[in-house]
Amino acid sequence: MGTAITLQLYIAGNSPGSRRARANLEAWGREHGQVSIEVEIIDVFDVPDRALAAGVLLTPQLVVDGPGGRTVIVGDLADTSLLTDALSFETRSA
Amino acid sequence: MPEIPLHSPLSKAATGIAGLDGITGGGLPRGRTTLLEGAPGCGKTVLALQSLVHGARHDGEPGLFVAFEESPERLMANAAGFSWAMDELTEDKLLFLDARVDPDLITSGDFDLSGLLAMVQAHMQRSGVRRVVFDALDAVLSLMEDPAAVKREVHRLHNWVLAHGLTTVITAKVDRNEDGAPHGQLDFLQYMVDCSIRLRHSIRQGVSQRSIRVAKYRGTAFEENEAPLLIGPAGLEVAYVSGHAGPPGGVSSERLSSGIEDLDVMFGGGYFRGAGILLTGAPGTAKTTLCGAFAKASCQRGDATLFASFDSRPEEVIRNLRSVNVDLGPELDSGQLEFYAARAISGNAEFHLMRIRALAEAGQVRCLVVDPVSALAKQGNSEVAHGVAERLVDWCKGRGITVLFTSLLDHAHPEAVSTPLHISTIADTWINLSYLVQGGERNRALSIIKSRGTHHSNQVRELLLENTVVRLSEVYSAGGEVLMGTLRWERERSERLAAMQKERQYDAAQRRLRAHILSLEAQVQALHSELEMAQSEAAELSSEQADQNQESTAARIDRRVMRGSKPDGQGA
Repeated sequence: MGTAITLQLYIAGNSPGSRRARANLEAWGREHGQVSIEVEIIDVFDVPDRALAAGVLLTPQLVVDGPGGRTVIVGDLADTSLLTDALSFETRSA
Repeated sequence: MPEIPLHSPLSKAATGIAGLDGITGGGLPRGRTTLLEGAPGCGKTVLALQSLVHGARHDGEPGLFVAFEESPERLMANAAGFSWAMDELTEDKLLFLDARVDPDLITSGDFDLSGLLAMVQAHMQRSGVRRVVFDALDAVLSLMEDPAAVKREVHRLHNWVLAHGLTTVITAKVDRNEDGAPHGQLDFLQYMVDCSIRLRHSIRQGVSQRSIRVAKYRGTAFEENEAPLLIGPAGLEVAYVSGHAGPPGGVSSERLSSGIEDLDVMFGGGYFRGAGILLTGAPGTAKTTLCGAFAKASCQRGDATLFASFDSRPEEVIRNLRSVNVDLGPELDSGQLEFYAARAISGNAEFHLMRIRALAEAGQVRCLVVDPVSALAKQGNSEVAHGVAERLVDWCKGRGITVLFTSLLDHAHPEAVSTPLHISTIADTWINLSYLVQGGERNRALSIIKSRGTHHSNQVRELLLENTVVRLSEVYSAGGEVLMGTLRWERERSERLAAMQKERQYDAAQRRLRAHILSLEAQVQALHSELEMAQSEAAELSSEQADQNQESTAARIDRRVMRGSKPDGQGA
């Protein structure tokens, strides 16, 4: 509790998938208000070098860097249970 | 997006694969997409990478290879086996993008390929990439369960590369029905791309056969037939000869010795330089002997010569030729002659063709012997052998190389049955060797079936292999029948005897006549003397008569004068 987790959400401009991913992540954050998370949103077309550096092939893509290592979730996060699983593990370890 | 003029001519990006650039009339469509499809192991990746290397090195177009299936390290290691010297290309000329999907990837909902496009964009900005290969695109698309999503993403990719003017190659395994029609998720790729190339690899009777076919190419004419494909040390090689390129210095009228004096005479001076000479015949009709004689003559003239022997090992060929006093040993030692020994059973016809061409090029060969070319048709190669033989001859003619190739004929009448490879039509000169069985003997016979542009004997000759020299015996025909061997000897002997007898008869008659002539001449002499005598007698007689007449006339005048009719004899 209290320790912030850093998330990176790679999106591609204003595409429907990107919009959905942001909305789904925000909704999840509201539901799980007790977890302090910091989200960096990166538009791959604005900074293609970042996409290249991180090897982001598919978008939207959520990268979770925590003490337990890196977790990557690809997609618009429609299935939030996967997000919960990944993040609860990270929050527990934190 | 820049506006494209309606009538802009289609620009093509060369692949550096000579035969493929020939088929497509210059290469892949520049700034557009090409689909390269085929089953695993067909050579898709090699083709795509080879064209990328060519573009980077020769067209100054940096290339990006997006690898969905193999790691860039593995690709580079595999490519190191080819003579491309890929490591010479600096990192801003040829780039690799590892786009393998993590097998532990967690997916949640819908996703797209924008990240990939952003990465390609990053490379474009950094290195000015102009050509892209998406290798095994199907690998990444297989992550998507929804066919509509697959279609959407392929279109996204396609539109994006078009908008950026990238010359793109997409390789993919496309599922096909038995009739060859594409089915499944990726069939729409066919309709989307501007150019579609299909690679095929099959095993026929244990021999590997590869082929390539351009299935579609928008806005340009192209060769629609399948062409043989080969993976060799320089990468892919497509066997395609466009048109008939002439030899470097035009058609030659120089005559080359066949190595057999009598045969040169039959041709009125020998073979033409740059001609394709076909030698057909049943087993044991001395085809290889004629090959050896030609090779020897070529070497002695100073022409680098290549002898491709498919049935016998070089040592055997040399030993056997020595028995007819054709010794190729010194020429082989001096390097004037080179042997390509290939048991026809090993490997496919295309491979042999490529090896022969490589050796001929390396050695700047001017005369080539292929013995026998029919061996190429063995073992699963029968379908392609004709094309191979034809291309070999075409290739030789294009380079002004004189090629002598033999073909086994089991049939006694070559005119009645076409040669196994139907190559007689591409040969300029066709010599047939056969056996004539007469009186319990087999004798070798040689005839020239055709010879373009040279005077040639139309007669069958007997081929004699003597331990000193190979020669062709003058035709011996009796009563419209060509005779050879013992039969010929007997016939010749009896005729000789008959002739001698006749000779004696002539002599006798001659003598008789001569005697008769002599006696006649004697008679003529006697008659002649008699005639002279008679003539002189006659002359004497007539002068006597003249004297007589003169006397009597004078007497008459005297009498008239005395009668007084005419005083001094002045008329009446």
